[in-house]
Amino acid sequence: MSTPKVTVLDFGIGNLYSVCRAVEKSGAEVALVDKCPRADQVERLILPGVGAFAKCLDAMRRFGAVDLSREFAETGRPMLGICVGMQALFEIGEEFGEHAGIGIIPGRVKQLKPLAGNNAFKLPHVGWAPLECPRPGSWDSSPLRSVKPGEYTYFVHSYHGIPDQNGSILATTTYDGIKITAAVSKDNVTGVQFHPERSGPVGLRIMESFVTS
Amino acid sequence: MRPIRLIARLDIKGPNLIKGIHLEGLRVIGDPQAYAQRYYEQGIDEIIYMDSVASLYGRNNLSELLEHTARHVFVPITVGGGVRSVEDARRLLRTGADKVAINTAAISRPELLSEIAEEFGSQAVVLSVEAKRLNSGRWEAYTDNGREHSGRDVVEWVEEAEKMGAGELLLTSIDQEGTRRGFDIELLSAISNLVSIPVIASGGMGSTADLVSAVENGHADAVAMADILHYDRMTVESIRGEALAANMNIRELSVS
Repeated sequence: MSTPKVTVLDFGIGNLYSVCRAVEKSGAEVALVDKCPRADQVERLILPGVGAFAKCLDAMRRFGAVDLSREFAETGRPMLGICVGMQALFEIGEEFGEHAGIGIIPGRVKQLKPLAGNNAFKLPHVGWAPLECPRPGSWDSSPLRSVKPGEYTYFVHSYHGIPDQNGSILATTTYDGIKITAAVSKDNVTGVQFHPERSGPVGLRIMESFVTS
Repeated sequence: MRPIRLIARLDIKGPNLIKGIHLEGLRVIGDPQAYAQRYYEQGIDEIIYMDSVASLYGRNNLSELLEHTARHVFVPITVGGGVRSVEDARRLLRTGADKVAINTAAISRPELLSEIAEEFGSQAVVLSVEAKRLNSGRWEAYTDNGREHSGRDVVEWVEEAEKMGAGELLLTSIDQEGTRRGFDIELLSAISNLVSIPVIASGGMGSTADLVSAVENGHADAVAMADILHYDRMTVESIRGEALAANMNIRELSVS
């Protein structure tokens, strides 16, 4: 079998060095591209993202990543959105007003809200948290297939995606009593709110599953 | 209880991992990359690299070390020492750092914290504070790796820095640093109760009991460890095991 090839889009936002090293560590070749490729030039696609939703989506749109993502999702080949790259898969983001997302996953991106009466709630949610599997068996054909429920990954975020259909939720975690969407999926497209490239051996297993799916 | 992070702090001078007492009398320990990798393999939650002479020479020299480390270490990495501008931060964040820690340059120009936070987000900005206890019972912030007085009161400075956009606080007690006598709990609790950003306790960890006290009495969100790991007095695994046994909410490495 030939070496898997992963394209990481560099639309000028954030630190992609560790994402690329994690892809390499997972046994794939990585291409970090600062010009938007055509969908047929891409074998596997990583859509990264950090910062505010609107600023990130603007950068994606200018780069061509929004159109590419929609087109690539139709090819059936594996695609992974990370952090704000995961949030971008949704239809609408609510950070600093309402903004259109890529719209692959029906639903909205909303701020994490504390339980009523919790005055000590801290944002952003930073740190390691265990993954929960809401529908047993749903990880089997996803990049989470090598993860056991309860294993920890690393999160840094203040917003999360709420899909219209519960079935889009692949994994959740719990932070200060509230349920957080940790991963979503639709067919060949997966989005993870956590950072697999910063989640130690568990994160690398997720990457390996992605590059070999 | 909120989750607590275990962090390995590696102070660097030139090519070497070093360790001092009260940030002075620096002793060479070895190759920082090898130590960082060992701690990663033992299951550390995060790594801090601190260039201990960077302020003296005006720049951080850790880019190369970072690039190599990021090939083998897949947990968040914070880099500090000599970060004076948005461009310095950008260079470090592009070569594998997730956050930059800033002390000296922020004290001379607090706006630097806002500038870096606006460009990369508050989560990438760690305020590093080197605190020395005064006879008055308060603490003074020191700069240049504990060498220079700033004249600033730690409590006032931390409040200002949080408003300027610092997303996290690395709070080092110069008095306790390297002594193995435990963290400065009074300092920790004074600061933790004041700010809403996460506080990393640094300086003085002699045993897991010190960690538990920093969390329970000092309300720390994370604990930075140096001496206890570098001199191989304990492994990350054994500290994690003891902390879990003491009911700390920390990452479990194996699930059944």
